[in-house]
Order: sequence, then C-alpha cells, then structure tokens
Amino acid sequence: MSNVDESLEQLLSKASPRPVPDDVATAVAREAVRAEWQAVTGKHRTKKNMVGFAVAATILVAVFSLFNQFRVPDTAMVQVASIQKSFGPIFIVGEQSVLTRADNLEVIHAGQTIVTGEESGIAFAWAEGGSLRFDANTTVEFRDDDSVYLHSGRVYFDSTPSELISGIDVADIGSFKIETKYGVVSHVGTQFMTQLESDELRVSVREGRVAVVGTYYPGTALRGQQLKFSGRQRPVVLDILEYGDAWDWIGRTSPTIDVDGRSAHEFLDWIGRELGRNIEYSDETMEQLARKAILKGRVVDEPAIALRQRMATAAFEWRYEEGTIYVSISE
Amino acid sequence: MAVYLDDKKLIKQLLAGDEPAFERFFEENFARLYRFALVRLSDDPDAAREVAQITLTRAVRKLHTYRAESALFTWLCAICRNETSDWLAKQGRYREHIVLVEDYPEVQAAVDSLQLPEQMSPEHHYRRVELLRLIQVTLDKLPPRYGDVLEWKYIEGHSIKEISGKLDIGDEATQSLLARAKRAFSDVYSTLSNGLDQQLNELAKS
Repeated sequence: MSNVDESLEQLLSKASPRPVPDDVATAVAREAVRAEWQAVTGKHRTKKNMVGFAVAATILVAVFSLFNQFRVPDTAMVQVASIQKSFGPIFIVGEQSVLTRADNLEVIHAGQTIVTGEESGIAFAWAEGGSLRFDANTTVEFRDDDSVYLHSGRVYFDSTPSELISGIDVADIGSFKIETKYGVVSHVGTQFMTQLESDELRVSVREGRVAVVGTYYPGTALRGQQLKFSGRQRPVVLDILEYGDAWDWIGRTSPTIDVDGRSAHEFLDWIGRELGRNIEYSDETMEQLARKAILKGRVVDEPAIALRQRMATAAFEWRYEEGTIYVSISE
Repeated sequence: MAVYLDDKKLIKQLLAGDEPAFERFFEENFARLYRFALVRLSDDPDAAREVAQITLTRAVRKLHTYRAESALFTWLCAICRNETSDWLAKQGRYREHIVLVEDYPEVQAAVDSLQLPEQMSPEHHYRRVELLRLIQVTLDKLPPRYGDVLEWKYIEGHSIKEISGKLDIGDEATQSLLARAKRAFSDVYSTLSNGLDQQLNELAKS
C-alpha cells in the first residue's frame, strides 16, 4: 500500500458517517418529488391503463409487507388502533422508506407509520380508548399503545367521543400522548388538535386541559385556548374558537355512526361534540321531545350535512348562533 | 467544455417518464442535498429535509433546462443554494456571508495537517473541525457509489465481502471501485482543504 493510500485511509477513519434524513422524511419527500415529476412528464396520464394493475400490485406489496412484519421474530405486534373511516390516498412507510398505498388497511400496529396524501383523512378508534383523526398531508408514527409521534400535519384526539361512534371504548380511557420535535402533548380528558408545521407546533383545546412538556419550556392550555411553540421561544397562549374553519376537517373524518334505536338527543349530542358546539333546546318540552324521538338507520355523512338532512325530516328546527346550536319545534 | 454524458442520459430517461431513472435520481441526490442544506441551515434537520425536497421538486420542473455542462449534483446544489436562501428569508433568519469552503470556486491540496499538536490554537481547532467536515463534503461531491464505498470501508469498517454483497458485485470489482474512489477522493479533498487554508489566510490578514 502506498503512503498516499495509507494517509488517505487514516484520514477517512477520523471522519464520522454522513448524516442521513430519517426514513419517514425520505419516504414523504420521495412521494412529493415523484408526484411533481409525474405531473411534469405527464406520466400519470399516459399510464392510466396501468392503474388497475398498479393498484393490485400495490395491494400485494402491502399484504406481503404486512405478512413479513408478522414473520419478524421477537417483535410483539401490538395493535394500537383500528381504522374506522378513511378517504383519499393513504400510505404506509415500508422497507427502504418506500411509501406503499394502504387504502384498505384496517388495523395499525405499534411501529407503523401512516402518511395521508392530498385531500385525505382518517379516523381511528384508539385501542386504549378515544377517537383519533388525521387531516390531509399528515405523517404519524404509531410508537406504542399510549403514544404517537407527529412528524408533520394535523391530528385531533377526543378522549370521550360520542357513544354512537361504534368501536370506541369510552368506559376506560388510557393515557394518550402526541410526541413532536417540540415536546410531548398529553391531556386530561379532552378534545384537542395538534398541528405541526416545519417551524411551529400549535395545540388547540376544545375541551378539558392539555399539557405540553416542551423541549425548552412547558405549557398548558385550557378549553378555548391555543398553545403555540416556535423555535426556542417561550410558548404563547392565544384565545381561539372551539368551532369553525380550523376545525372543519374533523367533521370530514367523522366515522359512520349507527343511530338505529337511538334518540334524537343522542344524535344531537354527537353533532355537538364533532362540531365543537353546545346543544341548547328552546325549552324543557323540546328537550323531552328530543329524548323520546327515536331515529333509524346509519349516518354516513359528515356531521354538518347529517344535521341538515336529519332535522329536515324531523319536526325540529335548528340554527347556529356562535358556539351553540339552538334546537326548537318547527312552527 | 466537459459534457456529463451519464447525467445527460439520466435526465433524458427522466423526461421520458422512466421509473427506475426516477428512483436513481432520488436515491443518489436526496440525502446528499439534505446534507448540503443541513450545514447551511444551522443543522436543523427538518429545515434541511424540507429544502432538499423543495430543491428536487423545483429541479424536476426544469429538467429540460439541464445542459449537462456541469455535473447533475452541481446543478442541483445551485438550486439548493437558492432554496436555502429563500427558506431563511421566509423564516426571517437571514444569515449574511454564509460562505463555506466548498463554495469557493478555486482550491488545492493538503491532508497531512490533521496531525496537530495537542495544544491547539482556536485557528487550529477550527481547521481540524473543518477538515473533518470536509471529508463528508468530499464524499458527497464524488459520484454516489464512490462516496458510499469509502464510507462503508473506512468510516463504518465494513469488509470487502460485505461491500460486495451490498453492491451485488464481485470482490475484485469492489477493490477496483475502491481504488478509483480513493483517487477521486484524494483529488477533490485536496482541492477543498487548500481552499480552507486560503480562507484561513484571508481571515488572518483581515
């Protein structure tokens, strides 16, 4: 070996391995760049006839990777959530950080990472109790049975959702934490939304109290407040509405509910919880009527639409007034 | 003027919608751009990931403008540099005079100077840290396979057999690849480290 070779090898041995982006970040970036590339080359148009095959292949790949995950020895496959509703493209991060379409996924295990695409959304029944929702363009890793890691995007958690959302255990709620690069978000019986963008974390509280153990500072927020973390600055608390545009996506992810044999009061209670508004009856008689009126069938539409449709067929009138839905008897 | 035929061919395949070409384009460049951005964004991994992604997205939009007069990665770095500035501006994090050694256009050799006395002056310390950082920069400047084999062999300590397995080639081919990679590394590193000396001299004079 020449002296030059030797000194070169010595030099290299002093260096550290080059930093690499994590698998999830790589998978998300790959899909974003691929989408742009396909748009530029028009590949998505010319290959329409391949879609059927591609979908079938993707499902096979998804099944194969799930099968492989089941084969991994010494790794307990802990089911942490089940999917109650999803729409738009949903991906799971697979080996070599490749995103695999997983629109038909039903259960989630600890260790899996889910990515939602454009105009997507998912509602999960959290195994330990509670309703978990993801908005579009969100990436979340399911760490274990009491925590998830939010890489980017927007998630919502309701620890005590309406009983009408089948499959959600409301009797025995375990703990639930959302970990982020800015810190850990945990709650005390609540509905809250956590939003992570590249340079800030926002935690908005609809009900109850949320505590954040931030990387640099702690913070708490109560109902109607939003806690904002940015860089190394102290968190800022803002007053917010518990309903409206910022929360609308949650209604879109609301799972189908079975209202057969349930009262109009229970239905309205579900509406109120999903929309972040109080239900107020015009008087006691109205409330009694709502408790006695029995509904039939299932509700597949999002709450705001379901409210319009169901109330139109009942003898009830309703109106929004800021954070309240007023219900009265039709004249 | 040199024409980068391999890169030119890759771009042609990309424009034709070739999927393996896309995989190669992404695999060879994303992590390298991430590191290129990382050092210019105060080691913020999220920002670096975002900027690397934006760079590749922008690049695929203007693939047709690539003339192969510089290496593809050099072309991507130019886009990445602009995106980094835009990102910093958007964040209100203007940092003036971010001039890294590898950004200097003209540079030459020096490797032995890593053997420094124990009591280091701040300049010596800075030089040592920078020289070590330049190893990573150099690995990224090489053709992707060259950087990988050098890192696997001399930094991570993999055997020739393991590397052959990773690359799915024979041991002899791996040895030959390593020899070529070392030569290329030596050329680029000496160029960069001389640039560092030049920069230190200018600092000392100012």
